[in-house]
Amino acid sequence: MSTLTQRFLTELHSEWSHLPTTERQSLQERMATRLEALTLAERELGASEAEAQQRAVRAVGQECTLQPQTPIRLAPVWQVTLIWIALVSFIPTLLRVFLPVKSIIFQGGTALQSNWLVPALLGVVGATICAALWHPHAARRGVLNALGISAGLILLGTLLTLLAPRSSGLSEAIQQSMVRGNITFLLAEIVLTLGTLFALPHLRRKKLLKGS
Amino acid sequence: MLNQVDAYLDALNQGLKSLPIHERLEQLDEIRAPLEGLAELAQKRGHSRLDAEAQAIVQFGEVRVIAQQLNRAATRRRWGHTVGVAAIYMGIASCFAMPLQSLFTLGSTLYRDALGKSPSEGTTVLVFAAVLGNILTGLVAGALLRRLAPGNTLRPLLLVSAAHVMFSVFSVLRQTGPASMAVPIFANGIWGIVLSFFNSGALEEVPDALLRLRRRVV
Repeated sequence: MSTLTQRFLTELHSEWSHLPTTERQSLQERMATRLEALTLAERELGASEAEAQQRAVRAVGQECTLQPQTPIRLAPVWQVTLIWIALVSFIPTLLRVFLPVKSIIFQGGTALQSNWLVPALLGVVGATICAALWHPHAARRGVLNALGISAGLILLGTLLTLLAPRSSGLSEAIQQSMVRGNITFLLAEIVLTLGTLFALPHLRRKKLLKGS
Repeated sequence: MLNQVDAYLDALNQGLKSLPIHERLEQLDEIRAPLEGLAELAQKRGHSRLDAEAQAIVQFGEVRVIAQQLNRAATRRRWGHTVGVAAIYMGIASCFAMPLQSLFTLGSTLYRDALGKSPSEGTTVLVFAAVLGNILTGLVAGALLRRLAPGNTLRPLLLVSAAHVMFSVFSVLRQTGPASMAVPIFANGIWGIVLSFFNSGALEEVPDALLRLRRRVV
């Protein structure tokens, strides 16, 4: 291998430092093969060895500016968890854009205090289905993790609401109604999530049976 | 001298320009094996090498159609990845936003009370707390995104920004709150996302993205 080709491959190796070692190694091997083939083709076209190498390196270099797509470096269970958490607030917000409502800003456990209830509950079901589709094998543990985190956040929100001083503008009646709303929403969220989670394999099985 | 299989794969290579080089080479490698297998089979049946290769190519399908299918599959995969990473970013942001903002709001309310200001006077402190919560959330989520999907953060963040802009525009169009509040609500949300662009390395991907776009247009 010439110095030019070697230097190019070394540069490429450092440019793709974010990739796992095995993947980087295999990419480098592919590039080396590609370079060799291009150099040979250029030689066949009548270019000198140095010129052929230069052209090959230039061609591959241009192609290499396309960043390879790296796999998400997160365990499938945690991917499912984060996707569920994101969707559980995104879906209601999206639904509210198309529904006749007063406010389109969704705030977790305050769902029961306004007309957020239907979008919020649909959001819970939708998030569970989407998260389970993302990684079916990690769905159960992932969604249960998410449910734990969501419950923690709602309870933390409730605690902070209770701790808020009167001067924050929250009267005792409002505080109590918010706490009640948060707890009811949390219970509904748990029931709906678990229900959807356990219903999903049955639905899938039914679909498979229908398909066969 | 190129044989027909090589020429076919070269033509396919041209049709797959929107794919990153490693994906393209993988696809070509995967296609080469069955193509050569078909040619060998035809040769065993008594055809000349030239005829066998031509037959294998006809059997395999038109370059344009195969390239179209592969491009479509790659696009679907890329969008799946983008949506997944965007959702993960939003999940991280959700986990941090609520506790941080609630804590800052509580802290700022207590601070305002300590200064002896009335609720109407101390609104700036509360707004500042909300903005600070968003900024910190954006910074943390951006940094985590850089670790989770290195080199692939531009598209997901653009998608999140687009969703945020869409919601803000809808809230203004549908007059879901006082019109004067639309801009502050939008600005408050976008701060975190803008900082994530800097913090996740998304901006470093811009030149590559532009190059890819230019190549697709050409």
